[in-house]
Amino acid sequence: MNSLAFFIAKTVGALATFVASRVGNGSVIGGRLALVIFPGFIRHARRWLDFPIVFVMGSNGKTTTAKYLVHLAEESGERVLTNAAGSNMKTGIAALIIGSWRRIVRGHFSLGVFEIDEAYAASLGADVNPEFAIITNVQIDQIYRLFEPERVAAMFRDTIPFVTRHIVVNGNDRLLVDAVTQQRPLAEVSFFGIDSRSSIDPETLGLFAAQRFDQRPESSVSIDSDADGYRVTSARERFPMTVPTAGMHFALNGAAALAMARVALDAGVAFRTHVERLGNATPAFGRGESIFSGSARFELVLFKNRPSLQLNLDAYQEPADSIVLAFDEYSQDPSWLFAVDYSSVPRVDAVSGEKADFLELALAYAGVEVGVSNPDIVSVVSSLDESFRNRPEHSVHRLFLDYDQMMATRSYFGLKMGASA
Amino acid sequence: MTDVRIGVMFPSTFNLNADVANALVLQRRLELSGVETHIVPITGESSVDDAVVDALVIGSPSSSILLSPDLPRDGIASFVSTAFTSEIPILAISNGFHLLGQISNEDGETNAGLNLIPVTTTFGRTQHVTIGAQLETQWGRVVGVENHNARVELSSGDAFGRIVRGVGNAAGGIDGLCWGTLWATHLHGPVLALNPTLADALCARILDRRGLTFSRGDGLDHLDELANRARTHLEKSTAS
Repeated sequence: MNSLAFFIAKTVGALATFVASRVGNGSVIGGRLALVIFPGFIRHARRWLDFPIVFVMGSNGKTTTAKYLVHLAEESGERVLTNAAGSNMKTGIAALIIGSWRRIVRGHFSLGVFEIDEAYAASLGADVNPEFAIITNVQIDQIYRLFEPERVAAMFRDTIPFVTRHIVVNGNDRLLVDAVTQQRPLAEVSFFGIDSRSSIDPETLGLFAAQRFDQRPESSVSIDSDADGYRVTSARERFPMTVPTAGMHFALNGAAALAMARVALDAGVAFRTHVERLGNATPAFGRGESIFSGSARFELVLFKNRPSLQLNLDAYQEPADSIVLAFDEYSQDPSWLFAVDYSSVPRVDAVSGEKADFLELALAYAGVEVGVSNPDIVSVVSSLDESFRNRPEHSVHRLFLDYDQMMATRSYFGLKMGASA
Repeated sequence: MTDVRIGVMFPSTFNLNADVANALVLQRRLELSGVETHIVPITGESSVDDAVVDALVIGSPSSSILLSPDLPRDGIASFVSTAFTSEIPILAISNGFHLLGQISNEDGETNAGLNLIPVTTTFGRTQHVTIGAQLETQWGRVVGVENHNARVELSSGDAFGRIVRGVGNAAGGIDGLCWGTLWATHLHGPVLALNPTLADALCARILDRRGLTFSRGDGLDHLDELANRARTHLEKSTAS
């Protein structure tokens, strides 16, 4: 009976996806329908996903960490099934399965890397029983939906029992370390984080509950930085490390990916090789990617919540010809805009998005001068593009964008979701 | 020259939803009105001198911090009691409000509350989230965001506002409490940033205690225009 329900759900889902793709962006509608028809769709599909699966979870850094890990895996010869950024709820995973079904049943894939939304992590854990998991951090995020960081930590704690082989956890995050300690997982656990000998203060990482990273046994991966850049240490070996996007938070995402690469990928690939390969990874879309239009360079910096905006504002210190902030309707409770320290921002040339008024109000109280307010981000970006692209001198335009604003901007430049600039 | 000090209770931890910024709002509005204003963090390390403030903002911590045995309750109670005695205006938001009274949860009464105000808060399973919550108050319509799982019963004092949209105290169709020099509400936003009339009323109260008159500065009109646009946006929200 389950096989019949699965077949019907998959067929209907595939048809819906086909129709939706012809009329617009319906990336998860097929998955949604499949789950309505057969709630056990993902659990039933697991028997065909006959390869190890890595869950990548956390308040921030999921997409980047997953991208780095996919890069390292593919460089090691793996054929990776992975979900596009943003499709990380149950509907997204179901849609991924439907969209990749032919290749799945033909045995094309050797590894799955699934970015997973925290609210669905335990449920998906029960369906999939992933062999591996990375938990990047617990931060203040979407409290209108997730309420408090402690509840998010509990979501991760409840997912841990379903992981069968190895869990990589941020050792600077007290909530996560406590969750792992309390849960006593069957899987092995290792940690990544800021080297405790480093001068970097864990309190600056945007974590809700930060702690220093004790030097764990040899299985840990730790990073530090100096004037020459980042260094990563594992099993007492230390190497220079580069990541595609500026910022300590991206370096930590790299550390998380390296920690998982150590345990999940071909043991014949040396850790040093993974570190070198990480330097060749490309940023996840919207994470510091640069789009060139004539002589103008547009830096797209995605922010999704208070810690990601703060960390990104602090990371980008180089002067820019234009600075734009855009905040969209999807971010339901705008209160957190007032908790951000804007002192690193000299001025904002434009605020945009449906909730531009809230941005402008927060910036006004922070004493930051704002140029124009225009809720239409495409209008703002096209105006900059038309003004600067044909100038003889190079210019840099830094766009801090909420998710929908980033998608609209990429679309303006002709980039589809998931495609790199 | 007048020098006003706005105390902020534990600004890094009582700031789950940016309510510490209410102090920034007061500072900015007073400075634009010609009053030099300083924000003074009040923490476990604060000295007696730091305790000399003209107003106190108590933001909202997460539940684990509110209920934590490590929260220095005696120190907080002593400070807030002194503030009440000195008739210092106090603004308390959500869990910062709950902290000041009695607190119960599903297991019964706890020792988490300070018992300084005539309020009993009981935490339940249902989270009340209203984007664009609205109250009718003595300062007009007040708009914000509520996000809590509390039921609050007042044994005396007046409501901060009457519910137009939202849940508020989840008892009696009201939100918050006005008691002595305390104004307490569940509304985030921050509530003073989104509600200029309320913010000005608090500025006036702060200066009145010092024998001064609040005279609005020219720069406030721009802030108020932005706030009114943001309020209108929230009022149109149907999310809850």
